[in-house]
Amino acid sequence: MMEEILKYLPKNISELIQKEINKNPEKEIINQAIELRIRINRPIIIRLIKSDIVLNYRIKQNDIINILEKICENSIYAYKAQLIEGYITIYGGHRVGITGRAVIENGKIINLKYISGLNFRIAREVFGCSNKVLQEILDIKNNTIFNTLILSPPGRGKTTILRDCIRQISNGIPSINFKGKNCSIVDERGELAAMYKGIPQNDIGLRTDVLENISKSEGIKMLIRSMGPEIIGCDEIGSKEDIEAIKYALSAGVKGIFTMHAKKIEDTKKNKEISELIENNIIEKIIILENTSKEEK
Amino acid sequence: MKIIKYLMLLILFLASTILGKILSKKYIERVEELEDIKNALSIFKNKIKFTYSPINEIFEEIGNNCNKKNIANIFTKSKENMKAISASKSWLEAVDNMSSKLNLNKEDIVKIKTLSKLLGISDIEGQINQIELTEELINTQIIKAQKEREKNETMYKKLGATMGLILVILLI
Repeated sequence: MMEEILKYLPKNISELIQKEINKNPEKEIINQAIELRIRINRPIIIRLIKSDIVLNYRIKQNDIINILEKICENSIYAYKAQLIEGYITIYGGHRVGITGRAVIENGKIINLKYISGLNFRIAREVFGCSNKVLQEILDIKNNTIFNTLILSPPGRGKTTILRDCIRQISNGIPSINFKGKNCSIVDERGELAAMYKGIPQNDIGLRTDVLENISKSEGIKMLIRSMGPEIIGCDEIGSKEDIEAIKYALSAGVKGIFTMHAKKIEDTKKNKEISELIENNIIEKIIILENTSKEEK
Repeated sequence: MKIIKYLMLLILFLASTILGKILSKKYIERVEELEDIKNALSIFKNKIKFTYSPINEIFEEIGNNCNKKNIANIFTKSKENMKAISASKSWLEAVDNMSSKLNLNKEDIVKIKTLSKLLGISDIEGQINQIELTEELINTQIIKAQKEREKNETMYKKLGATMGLILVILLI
Protein backbone atom coordinates (compact mmCIF):
# COMPACT_ATOMS: atom_id res chain seq x y z
CA MET A 1 0.00 0.00 0.00
CA MET A 2 2.80 2.37 0.85
CA GLU A 3 4.45 1.36 -2.42
CA GLU A 4 1.31 2.49 -4.30
CA ILE A 5 1.64 5.92 -2.73
CA LEU A 6 5.38 6.27 -3.25
CA LYS A 7 4.79 6.15 -7.02
CA TYR A 8 3.13 9.57 -6.83
CA LEU A 9 6.04 11.23 -5.09
CA PRO A 10 9.12 12.81 -6.67
CA LYS A 11 12.07 10.44 -6.80
CA ASN A 12 14.07 12.17 -4.06
CA ILE A 13 11.14 12.07 -1.62
CA SER A 14 10.13 8.47 -2.32
CA GLU A 15 13.77 7.39 -1.87
CA LEU A 16 13.92 9.23 1.44
CA ILE A 17 10.78 7.49 2.68
CA GLN A 18 12.00 4.12 1.42
CA LYS A 19 15.28 4.71 3.29
CA GLU A 20 13.33 5.44 6.48
CA ILE A 21 11.27 2.26 6.01
CA ASN A 22 14.42 0.17 5.57
CA LYS A 23 16.27 1.90 8.43
CA ASN A 24 13.57 1.10 11.00
CA PRO A 25 12.22 -2.38 10.37
CA GLU A 26 11.02 -2.66 13.97
CA LYS A 27 8.60 0.21 13.41
CA GLU A 28 6.91 -1.74 10.60
CA ILE A 29 6.15 1.49 8.80
CA ILE A 30 4.51 -0.26 5.87
CA ASN A 31 1.96 -2.00 8.10
CA GLN A 32 1.51 0.76 10.67
CA ALA A 33 1.32 3.85 8.46
CA ILE A 34 -2.10 5.47 8.31
CA GLU A 35 -1.24 8.81 6.72
CA LEU A 36 1.48 10.63 4.85
CA ARG A 37 1.29 14.35 5.50
CA ILE A 38 2.84 16.79 3.07
CA ARG A 39 2.78 20.51 3.85
CA ILE A 40 4.61 23.37 2.19
CA ASN A 41 7.75 24.56 4.03
CA ARG A 42 7.35 21.89 6.66
CA PRO A 43 8.84 18.44 7.07
CA ILE A 44 7.12 15.33 5.76
CA ILE A 45 5.32 13.38 8.47
CA ILE A 46 4.46 9.71 8.32
CA ARG A 47 1.67 9.03 10.77
CA LEU A 48 1.72 5.60 12.28
CA ILE A 49 -1.05 4.14 14.40
CA LYS A 50 0.66 5.16 17.65
CA SER A 51 3.31 7.69 16.70
CA ASP A 52 4.61 10.06 14.03
CA ILE A 53 7.84 9.96 12.06
CA VAL A 54 9.10 13.39 11.07
CA LEU A 55 11.45 13.26 8.10
CA ASN A 56 14.32 15.63 7.52
CA TYR A 57 12.99 17.16 4.33
CA ARG A 58 11.01 20.35 3.94
CA ILE A 59 8.44 20.32 1.20
CA LYS A 60 8.84 22.96 -1.48
CA GLN A 61 6.08 24.39 -3.64
CA ASN A 62 7.43 22.57 -6.70
CA ASP A 63 7.15 19.28 -4.83
CA ILE A 64 3.45 19.84 -4.19
CA ILE A 65 2.85 20.84 -7.82
CA ASN A 66 4.71 17.76 -9.09
CA ILE A 67 2.81 15.44 -6.77
CA LEU A 68 -0.53 16.97 -7.71
CA GLU A 69 0.26 16.63 -11.41
CA LYS A 70 1.04 12.95 -10.91
CA ILE A 71 -2.11 12.38 -8.84
CA CYS A 72 -4.17 14.05 -11.56
CA GLU A 73 -2.35 12.10 -14.28
CA ASN A 74 -1.08 15.36 -15.73
CA SER A 75 -4.69 16.36 -16.39
CA ILE A 76 -5.93 18.73 -13.72
CA TYR A 77 -9.12 19.38 -15.71
CA ALA A 78 -10.05 15.69 -15.47
CA TYR A 79 -9.91 15.85 -11.69
CA LYS A 80 -11.38 19.28 -11.14
CA ALA A 81 -14.65 17.98 -9.67
CA GLN A 82 -12.74 15.96 -7.09
CA LEU A 83 -10.32 18.81 -6.43
CA ILE A 84 -13.08 21.17 -5.41
CA GLU A 85 -14.44 18.46 -3.10
CA GLY A 86 -11.07 18.59 -1.41
CA TYR A 87 -9.89 15.05 -2.12
CA ILE A 88 -8.88 12.73 -4.93
CA THR A 89 -9.07 8.95 -4.82
CA ILE A 90 -6.01 7.30 -6.28
CA TYR A 91 -5.22 3.79 -7.38
CA GLY A 92 -5.43 1.44 -4.42
CA GLY A 93 -8.36 3.28 -2.88
CA HIS A 94 -6.19 5.77 -0.97
CA ARG A 95 -7.60 9.24 -0.60
CA VAL A 96 -5.52 12.32 -0.96
CA GLY A 97 -6.91 15.25 0.95
CA ILE A 98 -6.00 18.62 -0.54
CA THR A 99 -5.81 22.02 1.11
CA GLY A 100 -5.30 25.38 -0.47
CA ARG A 101 -7.16 28.56 -1.22
CA ALA A 102 -10.73 28.08 -2.35
CA VAL A 103 -11.91 30.12 -5.30
CA ILE A 104 -15.56 30.96 -4.76
CA GLU A 105 -18.07 32.15 -7.30
CA ASN A 106 -21.73 32.70 -6.53
CA GLY A 107 -21.25 31.03 -3.18
CA LYS A 108 -19.83 27.81 -4.67
CA ILE A 109 -16.26 26.55 -4.77
CA ILE A 110 -15.15 26.52 -8.37
CA ASN A 111 -11.49 25.86 -7.89
CA LEU A 112 -8.72 25.30 -5.40
CA LYS A 113 -5.50 27.22 -5.85
CA TYR A 114 -2.23 27.79 -3.98
CA ILE A 115 -2.26 24.16 -2.89
CA SER A 116 -0.53 24.10 0.47
CA GLY A 117 -0.93 20.57 1.71
CA LEU A 118 -1.65 17.00 0.77
CA ASN A 119 -2.76 14.22 3.08
CA PHE A 120 -2.37 10.71 1.76
CA ARG A 121 -4.78 8.58 3.78
CA ILE A 122 -3.69 4.99 3.44
CA ALA A 123 -6.68 2.76 2.81
CA ARG A 124 -6.86 -0.54 4.58
CA GLU A 125 -9.71 -2.99 4.45
CA VAL A 126 -10.43 -5.06 7.52
CA PHE A 127 -11.99 -8.28 6.34
CA GLY A 128 -14.25 -9.82 8.90
CA CYS A 129 -14.56 -6.72 11.07
CA SER A 130 -18.34 -6.85 10.68
CA ASN A 131 -18.72 -10.46 11.84
CA LYS A 132 -20.13 -9.53 15.25
CA VAL A 133 -22.37 -6.82 13.83
CA LEU A 134 -23.70 -9.15 11.14
CA GLN A 135 -24.94 -11.54 13.80
CA GLU A 136 -27.46 -8.84 14.68
CA ILE A 137 -28.16 -7.51 11.19
CA LEU A 138 -28.87 -10.76 9.36
CA ASP A 139 -32.41 -12.13 9.21
CA ILE A 140 -31.28 -15.64 8.32
CA LYS A 141 -34.79 -17.14 8.38
CA ASN A 142 -35.84 -14.88 5.49
CA ASN A 143 -32.40 -14.65 3.89
CA THR A 144 -32.42 -10.91 4.25
CA ILE A 145 -31.38 -8.29 6.76
CA PHE A 146 -33.03 -6.04 9.28
CA ASN A 147 -33.01 -2.34 8.37
CA THR A 148 -30.07 -1.22 10.47
CA LEU A 149 -28.59 2.04 11.64
CA ILE A 150 -24.97 1.94 12.82
CA LEU A 151 -24.03 4.77 15.16
CA SER A 152 -20.61 5.95 16.21
CA PRO A 153 -18.58 9.12 16.61
CA PRO A 154 -16.14 9.92 13.78
CA GLY A 155 -13.09 7.72 13.38
CA ARG A 156 -14.47 4.61 15.05
CA GLY A 157 -14.71 2.49 11.92
CA LYS A 158 -18.35 2.64 10.96
CA THR A 159 -17.48 3.06 7.27
CA THR A 160 -15.09 0.11 7.44
CA ILE A 161 -17.74 -2.00 9.11
CA LEU A 162 -20.46 -0.93 6.68
CA ARG A 163 -18.18 -1.87 3.77
CA ASP A 164 -17.46 -5.28 5.26
CA CYS A 165 -21.16 -5.87 5.94
CA ILE A 166 -22.04 -5.13 2.34
CA ARG A 167 -19.20 -7.35 1.11
CA GLN A 168 -20.32 -10.32 3.12
CA ILE A 169 -24.02 -9.86 2.37
CA SER A 170 -23.23 -9.45 -1.32
CA ASN A 171 -21.02 -12.54 -1.45
CA GLY A 172 -23.25 -14.60 0.75
CA ILE A 173 -22.12 -16.50 3.85
CA PRO A 174 -22.12 -20.20 3.00
CA SER A 175 -21.22 -21.23 6.56
CA ILE A 176 -24.64 -20.08 7.75
CA ASN A 177 -26.44 -20.79 4.50
CA PHE A 178 -26.97 -17.10 3.78
CA LYS A 179 -27.27 -16.57 0.02
CA GLY A 180 -25.70 -13.52 -1.59
CA LYS A 181 -27.95 -10.51 -2.17
CA ASN A 182 -27.91 -7.75 -4.80
CA CYS A 183 -26.53 -4.74 -3.00
CA SER A 184 -26.24 -1.13 -4.09
CA ILE A 185 -24.23 1.57 -2.40
CA VAL A 186 -24.31 5.31 -2.82
CA ASP A 187 -20.70 6.23 -2.35
CA GLU A 188 -21.02 9.98 -2.02
CA ARG A 189 -17.45 10.62 -0.88
CA GLY A 190 -15.79 7.60 -2.39
CA GLU A 191 -14.93 6.06 0.98
CA LEU A 192 -16.84 2.81 0.63
CA ALA A 193 -15.86 1.40 -2.72
CA ALA A 194 -13.00 3.86 -3.49
CA MET A 195 -13.67 3.70 -7.21
CA TYR A 196 -10.70 4.43 -9.44
CA LYS A 197 -11.67 4.80 -13.10
CA GLY A 198 -14.76 2.71 -12.51
CA ILE A 199 -12.98 -0.10 -10.69
CA PRO A 200 -13.70 -0.52 -6.97
CA GLN A 201 -10.40 -0.49 -5.11
CA ASN A 202 -12.04 -2.05 -2.07
CA ASP A 203 -13.72 -5.44 -2.04
CA ILE A 204 -17.42 -4.66 -1.87
CA GLY A 205 -18.73 -8.03 -2.92
CA LEU A 206 -19.72 -9.88 -6.08
CA ARG A 207 -23.23 -8.54 -6.29
CA THR A 208 -22.67 -4.89 -5.41
CA ASP A 209 -23.31 -1.91 -7.65
CA VAL A 210 -21.86 1.47 -6.88
CA LEU A 211 -23.06 4.96 -7.66
CA GLU A 212 -20.34 7.38 -6.69
CA ASN A 213 -19.87 11.11 -6.39
CA ILE A 214 -23.60 11.76 -6.11
CA SER A 215 -25.83 12.83 -3.23
CA LYS A 216 -27.43 9.98 -1.30
CA SER A 217 -30.93 11.31 -2.04
CA GLU A 218 -30.44 11.29 -5.81
CA GLY A 219 -28.32 8.16 -5.80
CA ILE A 220 -30.77 6.02 -3.89
CA LYS A 221 -33.61 6.88 -6.26
CA MET A 222 -31.49 6.16 -9.33
CA LEU A 223 -30.36 2.82 -7.95
CA ILE A 224 -33.88 1.73 -7.04
CA ARG A 225 -35.07 2.58 -10.54
CA SER A 226 -32.25 0.98 -12.45
CA MET A 227 -30.30 -1.64 -10.48
CA GLY A 228 -32.97 -3.61 -8.63
CA PRO A 229 -31.13 -3.78 -5.31
CA GLU A 230 -32.29 -6.01 -2.51
CA ILE A 231 -30.15 -4.08 -0.06
CA ILE A 232 -28.80 -0.54 -0.12
CA GLY A 233 -25.96 0.86 1.93
CA CYS A 234 -25.23 4.51 2.72
CA ASP A 235 -22.69 6.17 4.93
CA GLU A 236 -23.42 9.14 7.20
CA ILE A 237 -27.08 9.79 6.60
CA GLY A 238 -28.72 12.75 8.27
CA SER A 239 -30.29 15.29 5.94
CA LYS A 240 -33.99 15.54 5.24
CA GLU A 241 -33.40 14.60 1.60
CA ASP A 242 -31.42 11.50 2.63
CA ILE A 243 -34.23 10.31 4.84
CA GLU A 244 -36.89 10.95 2.16
CA ALA A 245 -34.91 8.84 -0.28
CA ILE A 246 -34.42 6.10 2.32
CA LYS A 247 -38.15 6.03 3.01
CA TYR A 248 -38.75 5.73 -0.72
CA ALA A 249 -36.34 2.80 -0.91
CA LEU A 250 -37.61 0.98 2.14
CA SER A 251 -41.21 1.41 1.06
CA ALA A 252 -40.25 -0.26 -2.21
CA GLY A 253 -39.29 -3.37 -0.27
CA VAL A 254 -35.56 -2.74 -0.28
CA LYS A 255 -33.63 -3.33 2.93
CA GLY A 256 -30.89 -1.00 4.11
CA ILE A 257 -27.84 -0.54 6.28
CA PHE A 258 -26.98 3.04 7.14
CA THR A 259 -24.49 4.80 9.34
CA MET A 260 -24.77 8.01 11.29
CA HIS A 261 -22.52 10.17 13.45
CA ALA A 262 -23.68 9.81 17.03
CA LYS A 263 -22.20 8.92 20.40
CA LYS A 264 -25.34 7.43 21.89
CA ILE A 265 -28.86 6.56 20.90
CA GLU A 266 -30.24 9.74 22.41
CA ASP A 267 -28.35 11.69 19.77
CA THR A 268 -30.68 10.28 17.12
CA LYS A 269 -33.51 12.20 18.73
CA LYS A 270 -31.78 15.46 17.75
CA ASN A 271 -32.45 14.57 14.12
CA LYS A 272 -36.19 14.80 13.56
CA GLU A 273 -36.22 12.75 10.36
CA ILE A 274 -34.12 9.90 11.72
CA SER A 275 -36.07 9.91 14.94
CA GLU A 276 -39.22 9.45 12.86
CA LEU A 277 -37.72 6.46 11.05
CA ILE A 278 -36.91 4.86 14.37
CA GLU A 279 -40.24 5.60 15.99
CA ASN A 280 -42.17 4.26 13.02
CA ASN A 281 -40.20 1.00 13.23
CA ILE A 282 -38.75 1.51 9.79
CA ILE A 283 -35.29 1.13 11.36
CA GLU A 284 -35.38 -2.30 12.97
CA LYS A 285 -31.90 -2.44 14.55
CA ILE A 286 -29.59 0.20 15.94
CA ILE A 287 -25.96 -0.72 16.56
CA ILE A 288 -23.64 1.54 18.54
CA LEU A 289 -19.92 1.04 17.91
CA GLU A 290 -18.52 3.21 20.66
CA ASN A 291 -18.59 0.50 23.27
CA THR A 292 -19.30 -3.22 23.39
CA SER A 293 -22.99 -2.80 24.12
CA LYS A 294 -25.57 -2.70 21.39
CA GLU A 295 -29.22 -1.86 21.34
CA GLU A 296 -31.89 -3.68 19.49
CA LYS A 297 -34.97 -1.78 18.54
CA MET B 1 28.76 -2.89 -75.34
CA LYS B 2 26.32 -0.38 -76.78
CA ILE B 3 23.45 -2.25 -75.18
CA ILE B 4 25.10 -2.01 -71.78
CA LYS B 5 25.75 1.68 -72.35
CA TYR B 6 22.09 2.37 -73.23
CA LEU B 7 20.99 0.30 -70.27
CA MET B 8 23.19 2.38 -67.95
CA LEU B 9 21.82 5.59 -69.46
CA LEU B 10 18.28 4.34 -68.93
CA ILE B 11 19.10 3.55 -65.30
CA LEU B 12 20.62 7.03 -64.93
CA PHE B 13 17.49 8.61 -66.38
CA LEU B 14 15.22 6.60 -64.11
CA ALA B 15 17.39 7.33 -61.06
CA SER B 16 17.25 11.04 -61.76
CA THR B 17 13.49 10.92 -62.25
CA ILE B 18 13.04 8.96 -59.01
CA LEU B 19 15.26 11.44 -57.19
CA GLY B 20 13.05 14.24 -58.41
CA LYS B 21 10.00 12.37 -57.14
CA ILE B 22 11.63 11.75 -53.75
CA LEU B 23 12.43 15.40 -53.36
CA SER B 24 8.89 16.37 -54.32
CA LYS B 25 7.46 13.79 -51.90
CA LYS B 26 8.89 15.71 -49.01
CA TYR B 27 6.43 18.53 -49.75
CA ILE B 28 3.53 16.08 -50.00
CA GLU B 29 4.49 14.39 -46.73
CA ARG B 30 4.76 17.72 -44.96
CA VAL B 31 1.17 18.59 -45.85
CA GLU B 32 -0.06 15.15 -44.84
CA GLU B 33 1.77 15.24 -41.51
CA LEU B 34 0.40 18.68 -40.68
CA GLU B 35 -3.11 17.52 -41.54
CA ASP B 36 -2.66 14.44 -39.39
CA ILE B 37 -1.64 16.62 -36.46
CA LYS B 38 -4.65 18.82 -37.04
CA ASN B 39 -6.93 15.77 -36.91
CA ALA B 40 -5.20 14.55 -33.79
CA LEU B 41 -5.77 17.91 -32.09
CA SER B 42 -9.42 17.76 -33.03
CA ILE B 43 -9.71 14.32 -31.41
CA PHE B 44 -7.87 15.65 -28.35
CA LYS B 45 -10.24 18.59 -28.03
CA ASN B 46 -13.38 16.50 -28.37
CA LYS B 47 -12.19 13.82 -26.02
CA ILE B 48 -11.49 16.41 -23.33
CA LYS B 49 -14.81 18.13 -23.90
CA PHE B 50 -16.99 15.06 -23.77
CA THR B 51 -15.17 12.46 -21.71
CA TYR B 52 -12.87 14.48 -19.41
CA SER B 53 -10.35 11.67 -19.93
CA PRO B 54 -6.80 12.26 -18.70
CA ILE B 55 -4.22 13.28 -21.29
CA ASN B 56 -2.25 10.03 -21.21
CA GLU B 57 -5.34 8.01 -22.13
CA ILE B 58 -6.26 10.38 -24.94
CA PHE B 59 -2.71 10.40 -26.31
CA GLU B 60 -2.65 6.61 -26.32
CA GLU B 61 -5.86 6.56 -28.32
CA ILE B 62 -4.58 9.20 -30.74
CA GLY B 63 -1.36 7.24 -31.13
CA ASN B 64 -3.35 4.19 -32.14
CA ASN B 65 -5.48 6.10 -34.63
CA CYS B 66 -3.10 8.42 -36.48
CA ASN B 67 -2.58 7.80 -40.17
CA LYS B 68 1.08 8.79 -40.11
CA LYS B 69 3.29 6.60 -37.95
CA ASN B 70 5.68 9.44 -37.14
CA ILE B 71 2.85 11.62 -35.84
CA ALA B 72 1.44 8.69 -33.86
CA ASN B 73 4.86 8.23 -32.29
CA ILE B 74 4.89 11.81 -30.98
CA PHE B 75 1.75 11.14 -28.99
CA THR B 76 2.87 7.68 -27.89
CA LYS B 77 6.27 8.94 -26.74
CA SER B 78 4.69 11.88 -24.96
CA LYS B 79 2.36 9.53 -23.13
CA GLU B 80 5.33 7.40 -22.06
CA ASN B 81 7.29 10.46 -20.93
CA MET B 82 4.38 11.57 -18.74
CA LYS B 83 5.08 8.71 -16.36
CA ALA B 84 8.09 10.65 -15.12
CA ILE B 85 7.66 14.30 -16.08
CA SER B 86 4.95 16.89 -16.55
CA ALA B 87 2.65 16.81 -19.57
CA SER B 88 4.15 20.04 -20.88
CA LYS B 89 7.75 18.82 -20.78
CA SER B 90 6.78 15.39 -22.08
CA TRP B 91 5.20 16.94 -25.18
CA LEU B 92 8.23 19.13 -25.87
CA GLU B 93 10.60 16.18 -25.48
CA ALA B 94 8.52 13.94 -27.70
CA VAL B 95 8.38 16.55 -30.47
CA ASP B 96 12.13 17.14 -30.22
CA ASN B 97 12.86 13.41 -30.33
CA MET B 98 10.74 12.89 -33.43
CA SER B 99 11.59 16.11 -35.30
CA SER B 100 14.43 14.57 -37.30
CA LYS B 101 12.12 11.85 -38.62
CA LEU B 102 9.37 14.24 -39.65
CA ASN B 103 9.04 16.12 -42.92
CA LEU B 104 8.20 19.31 -41.09
CA ASN B 105 10.28 22.45 -41.09
CA LYS B 106 11.47 24.43 -38.06
CA GLU B 107 8.50 26.76 -38.13
CA ASP B 108 6.07 23.82 -38.09
CA ILE B 109 7.87 22.34 -35.09
CA VAL B 110 7.67 25.61 -33.15
CA LYS B 111 3.93 25.82 -33.81
CA ILE B 112 3.34 22.22 -32.71
CA LYS B 113 5.25 22.89 -29.53
CA THR B 114 2.76 25.62 -28.52
CA LEU B 115 0.46 22.80 -27.38
CA SER B 116 2.79 22.35 -24.40
CA LYS B 117 1.67 25.64 -22.88
CA LEU B 118 -0.80 24.95 -20.08
CA LEU B 119 -0.89 21.27 -21.07
CA GLY B 120 -2.45 19.40 -18.19
CA ILE B 121 -2.40 22.30 -15.75
CA SER B 122 -5.45 24.29 -16.68
CA ASP B 123 -9.17 23.71 -16.53
CA ILE B 124 -11.25 22.41 -19.45
CA GLU B 125 -11.78 25.81 -21.00
CA GLY B 126 -8.14 26.73 -20.79
CA GLN B 127 -7.11 23.41 -22.25
CA ILE B 128 -9.53 23.67 -25.15
CA ASN B 129 -8.51 27.26 -25.86
CA GLN B 130 -4.88 26.21 -26.06
CA ILE B 131 -5.69 23.31 -28.38
CA GLU B 132 -7.71 25.63 -30.61
CA LEU B 133 -4.86 28.13 -30.70
CA THR B 134 -2.47 25.38 -31.77
CA GLU B 135 -5.01 24.22 -34.38
CA GLU B 136 -5.12 27.72 -35.86
CA LEU B 137 -1.35 27.90 -36.00
CA ILE B 138 -1.21 24.48 -37.69
CA ASN B 139 -3.88 25.61 -40.17
CA THR B 140 -1.66 28.52 -41.18
CA GLN B 141 1.22 26.14 -41.68
CA ILE B 142 -0.96 23.80 -43.75
CA ILE B 143 -1.86 26.67 -46.11
CA LYS B 144 1.82 27.59 -46.49
CA ALA B 145 2.75 23.94 -46.98
CA GLN B 146 0.08 23.45 -49.64
CA LYS B 147 1.34 26.48 -51.57
CA GLU B 148 4.90 25.19 -51.42
CA ARG B 149 3.70 21.81 -52.52
CA GLU B 150 1.90 23.23 -55.53
CA LYS B 151 4.98 25.19 -56.45
CA ASN B 152 7.60 22.54 -55.84
CA GLU B 153 6.01 19.15 -56.39
CA THR B 154 5.67 19.44 -60.15
CA MET B 155 8.93 21.39 -60.41
CA TYR B 156 11.03 18.69 -58.74
CA LYS B 157 9.36 15.89 -60.64
CA LYS B 158 10.01 17.63 -63.95
CA LEU B 159 13.48 18.70 -62.85
CA GLY B 160 14.37 15.13 -62.05
CA ALA B 161 13.22 13.91 -65.41
CA THR B 162 14.83 16.86 -67.23
CA MET B 163 18.18 16.46 -65.50
CA GLY B 164 18.07 12.79 -66.29
CA LEU B 165 17.43 13.56 -69.93
CA ILE B 166 20.24 16.14 -70.05
CA LEU B 167 22.70 13.68 -68.52
CA VAL B 168 21.63 11.03 -71.03
CA ILE B 169 22.06 13.45 -73.92
CA LEU B 170 25.50 14.56 -72.67
CA LEU B 171 26.69 11.06 -72.15
CA ILE B 172 25.29 9.61 -75.36
